[in-house]
Amino acid sequence: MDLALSPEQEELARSARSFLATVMPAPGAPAVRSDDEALFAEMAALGWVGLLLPEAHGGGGGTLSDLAVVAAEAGRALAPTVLFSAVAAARLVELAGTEAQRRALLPGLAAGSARATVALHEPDHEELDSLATSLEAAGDGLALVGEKRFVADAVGASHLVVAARRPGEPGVSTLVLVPPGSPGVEVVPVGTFGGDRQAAVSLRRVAVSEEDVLGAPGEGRRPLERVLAETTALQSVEMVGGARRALELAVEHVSRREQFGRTLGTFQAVQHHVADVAIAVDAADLAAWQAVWALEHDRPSTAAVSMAKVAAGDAYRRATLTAFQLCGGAGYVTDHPLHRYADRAKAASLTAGSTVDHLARLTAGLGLGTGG
Amino acid sequence: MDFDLEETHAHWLAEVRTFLAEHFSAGDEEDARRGGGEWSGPMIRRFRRQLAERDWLALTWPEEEGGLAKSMVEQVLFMDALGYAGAPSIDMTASSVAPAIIRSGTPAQLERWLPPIRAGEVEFAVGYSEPDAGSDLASLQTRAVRDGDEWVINGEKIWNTGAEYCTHEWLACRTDPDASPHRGISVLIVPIETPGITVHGITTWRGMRTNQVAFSDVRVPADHLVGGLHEGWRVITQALDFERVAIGITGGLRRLFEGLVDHCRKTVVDGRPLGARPEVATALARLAVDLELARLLNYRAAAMIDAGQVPHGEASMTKVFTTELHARMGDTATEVLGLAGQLDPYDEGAPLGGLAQLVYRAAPYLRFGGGTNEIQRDIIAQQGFGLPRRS
Repeated sequence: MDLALSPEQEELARSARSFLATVMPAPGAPAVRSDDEALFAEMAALGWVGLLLPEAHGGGGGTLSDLAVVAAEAGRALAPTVLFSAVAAARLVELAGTEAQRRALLPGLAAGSARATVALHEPDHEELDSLATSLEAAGDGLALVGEKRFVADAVGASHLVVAARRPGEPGVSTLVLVPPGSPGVEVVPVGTFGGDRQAAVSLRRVAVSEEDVLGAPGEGRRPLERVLAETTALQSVEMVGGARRALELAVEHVSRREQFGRTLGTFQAVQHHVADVAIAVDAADLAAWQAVWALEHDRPSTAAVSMAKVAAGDAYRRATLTAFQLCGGAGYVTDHPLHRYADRAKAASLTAGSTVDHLARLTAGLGLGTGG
Repeated sequence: MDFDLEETHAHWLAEVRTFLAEHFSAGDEEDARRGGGEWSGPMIRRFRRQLAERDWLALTWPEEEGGLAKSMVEQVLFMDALGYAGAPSIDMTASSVAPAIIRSGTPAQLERWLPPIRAGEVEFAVGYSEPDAGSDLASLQTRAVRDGDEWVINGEKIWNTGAEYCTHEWLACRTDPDASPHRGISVLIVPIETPGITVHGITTWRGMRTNQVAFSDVRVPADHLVGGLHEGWRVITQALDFERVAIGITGGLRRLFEGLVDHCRKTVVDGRPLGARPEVATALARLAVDLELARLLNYRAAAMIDAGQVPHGEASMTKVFTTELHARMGDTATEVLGLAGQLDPYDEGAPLGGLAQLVYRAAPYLRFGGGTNEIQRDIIAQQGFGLPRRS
């Protein structure tokens, strides 16, 4: 067991932290948008979007743990989450696409001149086996029919990667590339308290061709499952980065603030809040990195990924809510950065599988039976 | 970053499991469970002797002291395997006192005490706490006064587990009453047969026996003082990080969890497996997450020790998280078992051999023992985040 980052990863973390410190707004300034174009361009220029992609296609040839190093710093700085939606979609092109598709698309996606996002969730379905969006025959070609929701950063994306099934199939099997401006596509932003840019996407018999399918029809399921697992593990690391920062903000406050003639941090009741959050954050940190490691080294990862997401969600929500308690009114005002971490904590906890979803997966893995 | 076991560690684990398969039977396990904390029975004496024959009481000692020079991760693997098997673990003599002697003793003391400890012939009851010195350990008042070539000891110790069968006391005494509390303490080795020692048994909730021990004009030779005059606080506290990692072991909890899951698969109530009840399934999934987090925190602290780092806050984290999980898992498991959760290990029908209720009733001791979890949280906040001690 060796929990240290490599020297190169240490350097990557340092440079990511210092870059983000210079570009992210000061406390109290307007929040940066989740799809901020200028910051996205800078992150792409630093090689973050393409970090995991093959060098032959303009990527960095890095590992999942390299990308996790960036994710932790992005979470700490509340960097625009478009980084992750773009990374996931590009990774799907890499894993599911044909060589011709990789050659055509990946250089632009890695450089940030193009940007894709994944259209997965649906209003009445959660599991990959029940999603209903379908890829149907239409005249000489194909058509996409369905409703997607909570598509991250869809406005301004060059491509949607739509998860669909073909008639008669038991679940999602096929990934289809669709420019959001195509006839029949309607993108409607939704209002979330986190202020990020998610949208509902209606697909009203959107005409597509075989060439728009990533790889071949019916071959999208495994790449999709893989990328969802990677996204979940990366997001868990990102969440721990944010949770750790929220804890630091609380510690900074109680180390400075005096009441009853003493620093707040001398009160044992305060110290024990700090300790309990610290334990939760450290535990989630280990679980998140274990999930990244298991995926990177092709170890059994299903349970590790779900455990990481549950632990990261618990830790991030607890860190931010406890920080509110420790900072009192000073942390509750929008001049203080804490509320942004609290927004991200809840939004992230619900995204990439909620706590309830991942507990259900873990339950299924225990093989408890269903009975009558 | 690597979450794998090293190859040598995997071999070591296999060796330990083979030993347990050959020398610790299902009957032994039942014996241990029914003993409920009676640590001096014949099975346990035999088992400890078998550990000693393999030098496994000297696992982490340096080779020049007759040890196997294994890492802390290997020691944790070992203790996890013992805990999972339901076997008695190595006690504080091997895990705490011997390392303290190696660190702080004179060459003559090492030569005198280490061989019999390694052979299992010398076992220590640890005498730190007193009736009026618990969490505030530095306020201990048991006095040791120099008289010629001897120390004369007067005072009282409590929670002195093992005094009824151990050969020696590892005793924290006040040697300088005028110094500040932390600077006037020394550690003395006291043969338990020395005249003037009275052992009173105390029975605890789970059934484990501990003791209150009185010392009245107890005389030991001057060279029984270990680690320098008035240097006892350092001797005591150095050992504590290791002790907290040992308390953070998760092997026994894994056994309970796996047994509980198996029980929930197989036990059909009202026409469906217990595990098919959604509230049971969710509770089990939560425990699965927490058990893995506990394991990771425990191995993290051990890996830090192996890397030469001092895991003050991290050792406290594993102690707090694992012992709080003992309480949660014991509680959840007994509730899931329902009426049968109250059956004790002597009842043939007790699910999991009564293990769930044993964990439930042992958990309070783990949470307040070994430095209360409140003290551990103080350490995490103060050493990990620089929050001040109250002045």
